[in-house]
Amino acid sequence: MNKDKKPLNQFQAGYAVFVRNRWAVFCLIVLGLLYTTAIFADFLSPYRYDNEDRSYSFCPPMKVHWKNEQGALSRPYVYATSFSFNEVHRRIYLEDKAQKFFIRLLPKGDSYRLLGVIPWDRHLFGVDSPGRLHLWGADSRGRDLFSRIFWGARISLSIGIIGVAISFVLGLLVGGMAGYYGGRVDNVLMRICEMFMMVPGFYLMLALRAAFPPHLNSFQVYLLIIVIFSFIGWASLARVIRGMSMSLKEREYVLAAKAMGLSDIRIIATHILPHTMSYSIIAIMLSIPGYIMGESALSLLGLGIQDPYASWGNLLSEAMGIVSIQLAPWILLPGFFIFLTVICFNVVGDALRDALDPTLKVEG
Amino acid sequence: MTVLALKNIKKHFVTATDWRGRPQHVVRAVDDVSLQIAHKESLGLVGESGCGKTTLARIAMKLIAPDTGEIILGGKNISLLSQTQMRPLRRKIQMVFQDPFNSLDPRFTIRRILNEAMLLSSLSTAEKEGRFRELLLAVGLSPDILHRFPYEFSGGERQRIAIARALAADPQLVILDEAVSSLDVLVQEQVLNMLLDLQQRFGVTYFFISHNLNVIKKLCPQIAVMYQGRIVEQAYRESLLNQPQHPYTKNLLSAAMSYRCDRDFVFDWASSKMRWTQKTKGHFVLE
Ligand SMILES: Nc1ncnc2c1ncn2[C@@H]1O[C@H](COP(=O)(O)OP(=O)(O)OP(=O)(O)O)[C@@H](O)[C@H]1O
Ligand SMILES: [Mg+2]
Repeated sequence: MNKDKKPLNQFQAGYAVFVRNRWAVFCLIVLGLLYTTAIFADFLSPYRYDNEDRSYSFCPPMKVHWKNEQGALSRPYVYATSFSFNEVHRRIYLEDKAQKFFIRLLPKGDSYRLLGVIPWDRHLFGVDSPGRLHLWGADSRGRDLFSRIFWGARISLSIGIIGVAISFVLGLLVGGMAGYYGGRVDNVLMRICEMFMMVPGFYLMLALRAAFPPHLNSFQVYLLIIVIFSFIGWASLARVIRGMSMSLKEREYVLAAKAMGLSDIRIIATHILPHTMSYSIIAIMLSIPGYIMGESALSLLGLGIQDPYASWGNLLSEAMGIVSIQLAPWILLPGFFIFLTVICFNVVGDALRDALDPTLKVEG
Repeated sequence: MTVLALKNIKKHFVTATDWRGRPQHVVRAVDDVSLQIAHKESLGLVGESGCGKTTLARIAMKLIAPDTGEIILGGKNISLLSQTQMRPLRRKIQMVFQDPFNSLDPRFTIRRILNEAMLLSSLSTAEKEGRFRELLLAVGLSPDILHRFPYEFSGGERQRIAIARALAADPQLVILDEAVSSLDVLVQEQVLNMLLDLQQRFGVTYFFISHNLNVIKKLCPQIAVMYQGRIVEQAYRESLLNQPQHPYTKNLLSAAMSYRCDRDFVFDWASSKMRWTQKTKGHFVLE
C-alpha cells in the first residue's frame, strides 16, 4: 500500500492554483471587505440610512482638515457648513471657519442593533451635533451618502447571495432529477426550463414585478426581488447539471449504490450532485453579478427597493437627471461600488474556473 | 436449491433510428438466455468482449430492464417488481463491477462506502464498525484503511474493497463482472484464492463473469459459454474443458492453451553488466 503518496484532492490542488493568481486574491479580499462593511454597516457608518437634514441637501463631500489655522498638526476636523443661494437659487455650500467639529471615535448617534441583536448607539466615527459629517457628500434630502452606500450594500450584496442560493438549490434539484431519471421526467422538466430561458430575463423580471401589487413594504419587495431572480436564474443551471447528471449516472458506483438498495433521492444527493460541485461553485461566482445588476436595474427604475431604504440601485436613481449629475457628481458613487463588486466577482469566478476545473468536465 | 434463475432473457439495444423513430440498427446484446445457479455451485460465464456478459449481469441485478424474460431470485419472480419493491430483496444479490477505478465513489472514504452497503441492516454503529474490520480482514486488507479514499489504492486493492462491499450486505449470490480481469496475473491469483476462501467462510455463491477461461476454471464448477448474446454451451468444468463441443468453445480453449514459439529471443547477454545466463537456447535469466 502506498502510504506516503497522498495526492492532493481537487480542491487542495485548486487552492494552490488560485492563490498564485494575485489579482484574483486581491479581488477576493475586496469582496470580503465589502461584505464585512455590509454586515457592520450600522456601526461603520456615522448615520442611519434615513437620518436626514434638509439644510444639507446636495451638500458636497466635506474636506477633512488635519492642520489647524497655525499650520500645526491637529486632530482631524471639519468646519461647519453654511450655504447661500446663487442666481438660479441653487445652494452654494461654504465652510464656516468660525466653528469646527472634531471627528471623534465612537460618538453617540442613531441607535441600532449590532448584528441584529446587540442594541447600541455608538458609531465608529462621527462628529458631535449640531455638526454633520458628509465625507462623500449628501443626497437631495441631506442624507449622508457614505452611510447610505454602506447600508445599501446590505441589500445589494445580500440579494446576490440569497438569490443565487435559492436558484442553485432549485437548479441542482431539477437538473439532478432530470438527468438521473431521464425519459419523460427529463422531457417535462427540460421543456419547463426552456420556457424560462426563452423569455429575456429583464422583461420577465419586469413582468413578474408588475404581477405583484405595487404597494408592498420594503421587506416584502426585498423578498419579492429575490424570488423573482431565483425564478429566472435556475433554468440555465438546471440544464447544465442535467447533462452532468446524465453522464454521472452511468458510473459504476452509482449502479453499485442502486444495487445496494439506496433510494433515488439519496443517490442523487450523495453520488451525483457532489460531483458537479466545482462547476456549481464557478457558476455561482459568475452569476452573482447578474443578480446584483438586476436588483440595481429594478431599483433604478423605481420598481425595487423604495426610499428611504437604500440599495445601490435606488441610490443611483437620484443620478438619473443630467442636472443632478452635473451639480452633484458624487451621487454617482454607488455606481462605482456596483462596478467594483461585479468586476471582483467576475475575476474571482474566472480564477476559480482555472483553478478548479479547466475543462469544466464532470469530476472523476 | 436454485439461487438465481434467468429464463429467456432478451435485451436488444436500438442504436440508430430512422426519421420516424423506427429502429435502424439493433444490437442483440442478450438474445434469449436461460441460466440457473444452484446454491454453492458457482457458475462461470465466459465469452469474448462485447458478447453481452455485463448486460446480462445488470439484468440479473435489475439495474436494467430486459425486453422479455423472467428473473427468479430465491424462488421468487422479481422481473415485475418495481425498484421500491425490489429494495428489501437487494441484499440477497450483490455485484462487483468491472472497472475498479469507477466502481467506488472517489469522494467517499472506505468507511462510508462500506457503511452505505449496510444501510438497510439493523446493526448498531459499533457492531457495524466491527463488521467493517472483519470484512476488510477477510479480503486481505488492513482495518486501518477505513478513513482513506479510493484514489489511495491500487486496482487490486480497490477490487478487494469492492468485494468487501458486496459481502457487507451478507448476500447469497455475488455477481463478479470481470472482477480480476484488470489485475496482473499474480494479483489475480491472490484474489481468486481469496474468493475461494470467502466462499467457504460466508457461504456465498458466485456468478463469475470473465473473458478468461483460465480464471473461471479455477473458481467455478460449472461453466457457461456465451457467444454473441447467446449461451452456446454449458457443462460441468471437467466435461467442458475435456470435451468442448461448440466450435467457439474449442476456439476459446485452444487460444487459452500454451503459446507456440518458433523463434529465438535475441539478446546480447555477454556485453551486459549484469550476470545473465542462457539456460536453453534463446532463453535468458538474471542470476
Ligand atoms: N446502453 C447501451 N446502448 C447501446 N448498446 C449497448 C448498451 N450497453 C451495451 N451495449 C452493447 O451491447 C453489447 C454487449 O455489451 P456488454 O457490455 O454486455 O459486453 P461485455 O460482454 O460485458 O463486454 P466486455 O467483456 O468488453 O465487458 C455491446 O455490443 C455493446 O456495444
Ligand atoms: Mg463487460
